[in-house]
Amino acid sequence: MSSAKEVQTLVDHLFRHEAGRMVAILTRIFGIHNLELAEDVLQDTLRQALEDWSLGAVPDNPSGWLMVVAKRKAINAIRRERLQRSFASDMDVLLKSEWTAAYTMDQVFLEDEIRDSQLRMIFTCCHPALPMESQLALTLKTLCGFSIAEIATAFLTTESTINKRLYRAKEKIRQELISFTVPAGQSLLTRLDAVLLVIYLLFNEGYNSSGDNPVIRQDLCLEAIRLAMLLTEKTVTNVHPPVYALLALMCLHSARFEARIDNYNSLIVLEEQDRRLWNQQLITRGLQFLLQSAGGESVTAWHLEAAIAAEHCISPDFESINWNKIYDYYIALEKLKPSSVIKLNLAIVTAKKNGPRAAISLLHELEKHRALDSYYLLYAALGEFYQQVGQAPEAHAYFRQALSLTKSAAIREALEKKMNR
Amino acid sequence: MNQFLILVRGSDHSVLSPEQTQKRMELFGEWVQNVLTGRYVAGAPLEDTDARLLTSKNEVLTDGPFLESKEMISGYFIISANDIGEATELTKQCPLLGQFRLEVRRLKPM
Repeated sequence: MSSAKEVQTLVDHLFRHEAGRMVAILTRIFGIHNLELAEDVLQDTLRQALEDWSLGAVPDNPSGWLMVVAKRKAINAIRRERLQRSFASDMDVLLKSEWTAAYTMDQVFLEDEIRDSQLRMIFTCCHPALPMESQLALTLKTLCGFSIAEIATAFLTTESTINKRLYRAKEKIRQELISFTVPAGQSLLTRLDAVLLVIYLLFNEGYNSSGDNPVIRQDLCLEAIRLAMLLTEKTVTNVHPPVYALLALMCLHSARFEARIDNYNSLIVLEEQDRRLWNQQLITRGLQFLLQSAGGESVTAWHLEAAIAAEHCISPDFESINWNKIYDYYIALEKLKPSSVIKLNLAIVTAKKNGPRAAISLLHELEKHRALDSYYLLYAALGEFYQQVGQAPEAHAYFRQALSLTKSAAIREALEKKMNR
Repeated sequence: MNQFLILVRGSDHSVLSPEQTQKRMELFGEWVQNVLTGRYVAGAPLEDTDARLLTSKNEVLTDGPFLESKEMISGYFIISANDIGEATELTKQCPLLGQFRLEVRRLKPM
């Protein structure tokens, strides 16, 4: 007999990995308009796993067990509901006839169909007609097996807010008749870019958020990578270079997850990072993906961000970083995606190229726009460069301001160290 | 619109390869989806085993088959059609025809 706790852990682990696959294939069968039914069947399956496995032995192949049970429960659900509901239009009749139901179901529960359904699910959850926050919540719920509570933790909000976002997403899918398909032809690339944006935002949420649950944050990053990997497995989506650029970017950032004490490539504290903690395997993967990302028609922001991250990763120590190259990448990035945070990073890199005075004047420009008023890094950078030019009182004042804007113990420690040197 | 019961008579014990099964299912699905188009109401194949024939309260035969195998019922459908003519035309296209004999009967309206 397995202990209840062991079983709970196994189910949680499996849930993350299998839930997305199961909901995708169940939605393929029931149709996207019956997403709730798919979620109910999934819950029912997992509940039964918990019960059966706590009482008896855990099966040798838990994933296979889950799929078999989900399939059986799906057939039961169809029998129960066939007069009230219509299912996926291309197989509705076949599912409703006892002559063909079991066979049709067997044909859908195949590995390739499951992957195909996950791809359909990605494009449905990341449909531009849905509000962005709903896209993110729906993706985490249906593709990554996050619970409502975990999504709420990830986005620093309440469960009821997340429930509302999910509800709105499902309503919208019904109203707009959003189909459970992978777009074809012209619209494929536009829609694929929309998918990449959602994956990027999920990753960023994990990598940069101020949320203090490190497990959830790391899971967000891993799930974002997993979703992007799904795109590389299907021929319709694996020829789009930005997919690899985004993967490169995520791997190269994740490689530094353990060592990182600050967000967004923060160059100010990069010298403090312990490079021995960087994950060499992820760096290698990231560099491979970066190579694969070349050859497209356009250079995207993911390409540039990945290239910047790569420069940091391939440099043996902080002193050998090729700042000229990074500067050029930031100039291009700022043109492509003008944002205050990128301007801030550009200003910091400028210091390496043109000296601290040049950086200080760029930073004061930024200060005037007020967009970064509550971002400690702006003031930390000003403190750093005023210190470098020997204006101690200014440096001290800016470091103080930076300190007042961050709660992170690691960053506070780094800043205090700088103040007192 | 009337409803018709199609009794599938006869039995087929040939062992099919997965490809043959797939082919047969595809043909059958094609008929249900494209020929009947919305006129399929219900139906199921029947098990050959676990059959009982009751002739009275006291007599229950368990040793089937109770009829010659060509008379055995292997399944049924209910479809809707305007009249027996249309029901027959639809049934003529059923891919089970050949291995089985199909008996079309109109359900008495209530």
